[in-house]
Amino acid sequence: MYEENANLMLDVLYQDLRRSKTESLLLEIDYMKNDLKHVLYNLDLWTKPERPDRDFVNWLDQVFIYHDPYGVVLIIGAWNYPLALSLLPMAGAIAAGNAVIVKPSEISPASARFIVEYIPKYLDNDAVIIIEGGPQETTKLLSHRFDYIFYTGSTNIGKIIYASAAKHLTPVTLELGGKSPVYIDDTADLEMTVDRILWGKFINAGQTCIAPDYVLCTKEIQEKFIQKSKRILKKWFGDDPQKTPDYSRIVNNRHFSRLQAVLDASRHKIAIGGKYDPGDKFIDLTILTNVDVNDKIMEDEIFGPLLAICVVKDINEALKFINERGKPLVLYVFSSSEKVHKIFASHTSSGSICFNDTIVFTGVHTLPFGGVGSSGIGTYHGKMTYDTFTHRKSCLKRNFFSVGNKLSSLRNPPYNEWKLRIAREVMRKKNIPSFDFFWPVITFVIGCSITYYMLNMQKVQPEVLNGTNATIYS
Amino acid sequence: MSSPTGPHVPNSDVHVIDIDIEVENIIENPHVSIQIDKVRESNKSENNNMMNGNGNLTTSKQKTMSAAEAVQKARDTFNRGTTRPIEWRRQQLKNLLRMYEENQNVMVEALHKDLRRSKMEAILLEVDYLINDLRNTLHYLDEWTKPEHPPKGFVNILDEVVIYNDPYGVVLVIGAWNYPLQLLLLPMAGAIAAGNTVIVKPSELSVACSNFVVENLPKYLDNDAFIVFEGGPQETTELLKQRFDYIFYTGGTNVGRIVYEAATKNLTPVTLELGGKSPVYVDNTVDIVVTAKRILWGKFINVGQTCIAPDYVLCTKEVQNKFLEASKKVLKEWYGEDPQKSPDLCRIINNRHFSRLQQLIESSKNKIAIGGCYDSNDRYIEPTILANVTPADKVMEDEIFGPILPIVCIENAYEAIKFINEREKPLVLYLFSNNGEVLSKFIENTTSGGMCINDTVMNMGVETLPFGGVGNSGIGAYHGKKTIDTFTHKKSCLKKNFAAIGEKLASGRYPPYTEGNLKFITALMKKRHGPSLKYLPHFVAFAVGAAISYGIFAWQKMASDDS
Repeated sequence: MYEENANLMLDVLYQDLRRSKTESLLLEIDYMKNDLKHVLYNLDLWTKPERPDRDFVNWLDQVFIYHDPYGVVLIIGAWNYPLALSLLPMAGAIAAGNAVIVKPSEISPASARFIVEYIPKYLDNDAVIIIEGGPQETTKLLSHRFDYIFYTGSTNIGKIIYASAAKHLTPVTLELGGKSPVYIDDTADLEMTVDRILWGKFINAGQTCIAPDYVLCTKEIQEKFIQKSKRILKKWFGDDPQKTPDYSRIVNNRHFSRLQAVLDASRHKIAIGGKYDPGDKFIDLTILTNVDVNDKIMEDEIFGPLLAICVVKDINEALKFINERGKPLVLYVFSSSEKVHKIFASHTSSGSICFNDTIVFTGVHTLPFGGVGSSGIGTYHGKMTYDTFTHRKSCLKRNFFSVGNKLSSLRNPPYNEWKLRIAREVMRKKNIPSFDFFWPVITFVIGCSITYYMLNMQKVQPEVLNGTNATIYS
Repeated sequence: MSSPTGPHVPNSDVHVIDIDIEVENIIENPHVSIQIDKVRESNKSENNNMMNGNGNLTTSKQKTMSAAEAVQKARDTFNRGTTRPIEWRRQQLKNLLRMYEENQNVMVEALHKDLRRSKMEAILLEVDYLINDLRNTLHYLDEWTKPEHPPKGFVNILDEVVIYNDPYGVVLVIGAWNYPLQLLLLPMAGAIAAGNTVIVKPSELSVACSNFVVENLPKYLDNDAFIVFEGGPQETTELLKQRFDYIFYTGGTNVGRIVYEAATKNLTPVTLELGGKSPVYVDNTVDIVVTAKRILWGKFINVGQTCIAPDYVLCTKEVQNKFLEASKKVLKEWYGEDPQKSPDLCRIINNRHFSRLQQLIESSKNKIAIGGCYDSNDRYIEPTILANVTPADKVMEDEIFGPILPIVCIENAYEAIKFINEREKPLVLYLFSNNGEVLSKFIENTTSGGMCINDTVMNMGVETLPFGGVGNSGIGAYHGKKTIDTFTHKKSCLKKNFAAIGEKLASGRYPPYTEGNLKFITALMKKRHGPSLKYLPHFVAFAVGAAISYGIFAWQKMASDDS
C-alpha cells in the first residue's frame, strides 16, 4: 500500500499541512517504508519463543518465553504526522498478532480520509478496523474495554486516556509532548548548530513533538545565534518565506490563533520574523530573544514555528532551569566537550537526549523512542514497537523423570531440618562461569584440529610418494 | 547534622545548589569528583553509625511523618543526586543483604506470628529467595546499570548511539500480606539498584512482618532515601494522592484498579502484580501421584494464600477419581491423621478472610470429597478438595486464596481451552500432560501471565523468566534483571559531532529542497540488511585457531629441521 500510493500520500499531506515533498517523504512515507521492511525482515526472528538461561535447579527442565498478542489494540493517531503516527504503531501491533482499531486524527481530514479509504483495500477488514471521529466518538470508544491502548498527542488528553484505561486495567503507551530544551555552549560549532536547530524547528512549521522548544545559552551566544540565523534563513527561504514551497502551514485556525496570541504577547522580544497571515494560516519562522520564564511562550509546548531563547549565565543555571520543569521528551545539547555531555546525561532526566543535532535520533531504529514523566509512558520504534504490543508469556516446562522428581520431592511436607538444608543448598545462587564463550572456544578448537590434521596429511603424503613408508612400517 | 559535602547544610532548597556545586567542581577540576565520592562514603558510614545507635529513635520519628512530608523528603534526596552513584547503591544493597543474613531467625519468627508459617516454607519461599535474588543483583549490578550501545544503521556510522539507564525518581512499593517480606523487599531492592529513592508500605494485615520492616530497615539503609510508611487503607489513600515517579503494587485486582486510577492523575507508570483464578489442566497421560503431589504442594504452601496457587482443576471424570484417590494418600502422608496438629500447615491471616473461606466451604458442603473441617478459634481450615464443581458455584466466582481446591469436570482439552478463554486472563496457567500436541494447543490458544507445565509455583523460581500478569491479572513483570529494568527509564541518546564530512552528507536535508538532495538522502536512509555478523566471532575464533596451530606446526618443523 505504501509503495502504490506514495503520490497520493504526498497529496493528502500537502492538503492538510501544505507539507513539501522532501519532508513528507523523509519524515513519513520513507520512514514508514523502511520501518516496515525492517519488521518484515525480522518477523520470524522476533516472533519465535525465547529460550532464556536457566539455573542449576532447572537443569532438567525447559524454559521458554512465548510471545502472546494482547488482543484488541486501540491506536489513536495525531494530526502533526497524520500517517506515520497512526500507521507505524499499527504495523507493530499487526506484527505482534493483535486485532487493531485505528482512530486517525480528525484535525487532519485529508490524511484521515486516505486511511479510511485505503487500509480496508489492503488489509483484512475483520482484523483491522478504522474508526473516524472527533472528541465525542473518541470518548465513546474509550468506554469500551481494550487490551492495549497506544496514544500519541498532548499531555492533557493523555491523562484522560490513561484514566479511562485504568478503569479496565488496560496497559498503555502514551507518546506525549512537552517543552524540549536546547542548550548551547561556546565549544559548539555555531554555524552547524544553527543549521541543525533551525531545521528541526521549521520542519512541519514546528508542529513536531520533538521540535526544539526553547534555547538556553549565554547572551554572547544568543547574539551570534541571531546573526547566523538571519543569514541561514535567507539562504533557505529567500526574501519572502511565505512564497517558498518548502514551508508548511499551521493545521487549523484554532492552532493559528493560539500561536498568534503567543506571538503578540511577546512582540517586543522578536528578533527575527514575526509576520503572519491568517488567510494562508502562515506564520513566519520567528525567534524571540531574552525571553523570561514568565512570558506566555514559556507556559506550554509551543508547537509552531516560534523559537524562544532564554539567557542563562552558565551550565549550572541551565541544569537548574531544566530540572525545575517537567521531564522533557528530548533534551538537545550542543557542545564539543565530553564533560558537558556527561553532566547533562547524568544530571537530567528526559525521554531521550541528543547531542549536537535535532530530530534525527528518531531515525535510529535501535533507540527506544518515548517520554518519561509528563512527556509520556512507554517507548516504540524498531523492535520496541513489536515488543510494545506483545505480552511475554513465561513458561517453565518440567517432566516426570524420577531423578528430577526425587530432588523436588524434598519440598514436600512433613518438613524437617535435613530436607531444608539440602533444599537450601540446591536453590543457592551459584555464579558459575558464563557460557558466553563456549561456542567461540569450540570453533577455536575445531580450527586448530582441522589445520593440524591437514598439515599432518601433507606431511604423510610426500613420504608415501617417496616410497620410504617409514611411518607405516615403524 | 553537619554535612561533610561542604558548607551546604541541608535545608529547604539546597538540593538544587548541591548538584550545581558538584557540576562546577567536575568542570573545573575532574579530580574533585573523586573526592566527593570519598566524602559521601564517609558521610554514609557516619550516618550508619548513627542509625545503628538510634534505631528506635529514627522509627518513632518516621511514624509521625505525613505522606506529603515523606514523599518530599525522598524527592529532595533524589534531587540531591545521592542515589545516582553505583557504589552508593552497592553499599546500600550490601547493607540490605546484611540485614537479611543477620535477621534470618527474626524473619522466620515474624512469619510464624503472622501466618504460623513453618520454618521450611519461610526460608525457602521468602528469606532464601530474597537473599539469592539480592546476591544475583549485586553480582550483575555493574553490567545491568552501565549504558548500552545498541547497533546502528549506516547513516549513523560516524555517530555514537547510547541508551542510558536513568532512575525514575521516587518509587512507591506497596506490599501484600501473603508473602509480607518477599513481595515488599524484592521490588524495593530492584528500585534501589536502579538508583531510585523508595517509599515502602508494608501491608497492615501482617502485623509482625510490618513491625520487622519498620524497625530494621532504617537501621541498615539510608533514612533519607528509603522511607517505611505504615498504615491501612486511609493512610494508603493519602499516600496515593502524592506524586510518584513509579508505583509498584502487589495485591488484589480491585485495589489494583484504585491504585492505577490514582496513578493516572500524575501520569505515573505502574507495575501491578494482581491475582486471579489460575487454572490447572490435567489429562490422562501423566503420572497421577506425582501430579497430585505437585498440585497439592502448590496449593497448600501458605495454605493457599499464594497469588500463583492453583485455583481450580480442569479434568475428566476419570482423572478426577484417580486424582482424589492419590490426593487422599498424599495428604495423609504429609499432614498425618489430623492436619490441624501438623506444624507444617499455615493459618489464615485474619478473621475476615477466615469467614470468607468458611462461607465458600458451607455453600458447597455437598461437594466435599476431602477435608472440609475448620476451627475458627485457630483460624484453621483443613486442606479441602471439592469434586464435580460447576461454574455456577460460589467457589468459582472469585480467586479462592485459601486451602480449597475445586475440580471442574470437562470432556476434553478443547472444552478446557474454551472454559479458560471465557474467563479473565489468569496469572498462571498450569498444564499437566505428556502429550506435546495438547500442550501446544494450550500455548497457542490461551493467554496468561505465565505458564508452568507439569509443576506448580516453581516457575516463580526461575529468575530469567519475567513474572507478572496480563489483563486482569496485572500489568508489567519483574524478577531477575526485569526487576531493575522495571524501575529504570531507558534514556536513548544519539551523539553527533561537528565533523565536516558528516555535515556535508547531512546537509542535503536543508532547504531549499531539490530532487537531487532528496534522492541522495533517501538512498542514505534506506534500510539495508547486510550479512549478519552473528557468527563473526566464531569465524574469527576458527581462523585464529587454524593460524595458531599452523604456526606451531611450522615452528615444530623448523625446530626439527634445526636438530
